[in-house]
Amino acid sequence: MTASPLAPPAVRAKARPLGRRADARSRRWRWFAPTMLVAVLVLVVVSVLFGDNFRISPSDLLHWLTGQSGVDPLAKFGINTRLPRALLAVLVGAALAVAGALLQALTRNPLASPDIIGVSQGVVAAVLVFSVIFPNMPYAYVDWIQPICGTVGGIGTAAVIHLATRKLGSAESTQFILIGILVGGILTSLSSLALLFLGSDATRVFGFMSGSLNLKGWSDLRLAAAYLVPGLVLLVLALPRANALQLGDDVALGLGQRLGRDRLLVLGASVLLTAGAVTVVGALSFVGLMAPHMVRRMVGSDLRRLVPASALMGAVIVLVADLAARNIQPQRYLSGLGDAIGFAYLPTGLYLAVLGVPFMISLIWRRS
Amino acid sequence: MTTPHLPATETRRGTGRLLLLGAAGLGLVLVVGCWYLLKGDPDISLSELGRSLFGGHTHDNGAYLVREVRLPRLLLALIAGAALGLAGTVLQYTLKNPIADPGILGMSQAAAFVVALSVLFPGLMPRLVLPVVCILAGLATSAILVVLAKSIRDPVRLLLVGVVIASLGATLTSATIVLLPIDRAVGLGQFFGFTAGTVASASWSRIGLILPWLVVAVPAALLSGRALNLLQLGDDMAIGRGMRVTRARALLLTCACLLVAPVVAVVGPISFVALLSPHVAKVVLRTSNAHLVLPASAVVGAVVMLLADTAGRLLFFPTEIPAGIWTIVVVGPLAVVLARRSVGRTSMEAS
Repeated sequence: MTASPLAPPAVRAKARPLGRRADARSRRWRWFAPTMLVAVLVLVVVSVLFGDNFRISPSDLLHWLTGQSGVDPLAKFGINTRLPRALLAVLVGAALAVAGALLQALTRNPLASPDIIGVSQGVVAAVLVFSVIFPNMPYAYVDWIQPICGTVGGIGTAAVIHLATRKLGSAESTQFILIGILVGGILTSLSSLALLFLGSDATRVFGFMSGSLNLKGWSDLRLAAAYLVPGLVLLVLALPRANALQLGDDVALGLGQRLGRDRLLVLGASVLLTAGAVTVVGALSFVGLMAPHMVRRMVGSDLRRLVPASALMGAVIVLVADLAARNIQPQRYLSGLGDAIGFAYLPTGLYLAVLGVPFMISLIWRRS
Repeated sequence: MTTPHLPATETRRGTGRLLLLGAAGLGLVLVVGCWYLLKGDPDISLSELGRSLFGGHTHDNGAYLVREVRLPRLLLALIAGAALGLAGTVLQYTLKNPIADPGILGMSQAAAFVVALSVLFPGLMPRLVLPVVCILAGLATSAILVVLAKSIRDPVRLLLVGVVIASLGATLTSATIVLLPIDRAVGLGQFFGFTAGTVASASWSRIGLILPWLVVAVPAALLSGRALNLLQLGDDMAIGRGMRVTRARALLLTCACLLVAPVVAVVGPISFVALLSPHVAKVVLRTSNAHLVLPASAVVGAVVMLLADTAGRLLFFPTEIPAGIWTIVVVGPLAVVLARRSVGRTSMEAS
């Protein structure tokens, strides 16, 4: 892989893979990237073909894709509900994973991620508080105001954390994470307060609080795509700079980087990507933390490889979790409890937590 | 009082300040408490209050109101606040982390999950058992922390384990609610009221539910000053001083659970009182000697809870705002501001 043309020359020289190990990593990257790409594609196709109540035959999907007529209307309906959901999973998984990778580079702490430092919680809290203040807003407005609100919430949270930690000296990752955890805790409490005021509407937002792709369609996909564009632009600008920041303040300064501005840029990219994903599907946790870790050993911590690899891995993780969420019907397995269990699907976030909690605890344990 | 690392004069001055703080707290509690008992719907006169508190067998409405509604509520707020304040100090010293709080470490969430189960599936557990199950859930989370603390020396990492457990607890709670059939959703309002945290449903029997646990845990916490001071010096130093670190940590976290879980079971997951109290106590006492911080944080916690509930009950009078809302909206940001200083210090020590 060649260096990004946007990288300043000094950084490029520093970050160019050196030695045998780096060679092995770039070799590995050469087969890892296509493999992951194929995995994402296969999972998307599987997500479309298999669903709760009926299967779609591959030939129907092929006909639909090539625009031929004569597709079974039921299959058409199935594709139109499942495909946007699968694509949305890819999009938000990738966005959250990249946000996590950027934050980990920024704080130089492998345990940072948007849901740990409170940005996701900020987005959720802003959206919930908004829906408490304007309970009867028509859906046509909600659709575009809600993401703006969530984005503002995410940016506000990041700004508070940034301002609170800026004056404490150099970018100490520990401070950043501790203050972030604290702010996240306050925002979580704020969200649960919002539930109190929402009353009977509250059941609606539970999926949102833990992250859910239920009932998402083409319009949600378009919304997420639109809101991820600014984050993507910032990401392209931030990538080479984040790479320099990763090496430490002194090295980055020596490479001619302007630390304060670069740090803000990286943080901004991470926050916008998180906000774009979270306003649409809710606070999916653990993706931002898991994905960069899973790929770091394969591709190294050069962000030009780590970011795309994390994006692919994040997409795979969310696709798998959502596949579980769509196909596991709790009522069937908990029928022993009788009518105590309603007919509902669990939010995608729950399956992510089931995957993520053991992963994260083992990670914290191993690294100490 | 032997503190291994503090000069005697500082301890003496701190003791003086502690006495001052205690006196100020007591005065505040008396004044605000009086107002608390007098105001409401209906207001009662001071003489009526005196009669109903000390007058023996008076059976008018005012006396009933004071004895059976307002007084237990006032006491519950004070008890819950003191317990949370103590728990905050025990947690922050045991885990050597200035932002340790039962809500951030997952103890509250575990207990809240149990309460969610009991509210949403009525008949699952009798009321008397609820605090016990809550304590067990809290103990399970602390057990994880104790086991991992053996190998994880970095306080930030240990806290992150708690954060993960907390988010798991919250997710399980929302999964429970999502799975609830529509016709059962009537319990939801009750549950949301509970998650905000309020002492509005106080009664003598509810105080009776938590008192037995606190009778054990409060003295234990107050007497744990020496252990907390030693743990503050770091594991190696504590071991060198002949302390069995893991056992001590397990006992201290158990103690914190006994303080927090019954309160959560009855009052709800009140946030940030536990986080704030030790910081206020340290600022006022100008020492971090645990012997002094422990009682001071209990006083601060009780006062904060009382103020929060007074504000919730009387500030916007006919509408009542749960005390938990005030602790989130006011105490939370305050806690961030105060904790910032200690956070800076922690990370400097860690690096």
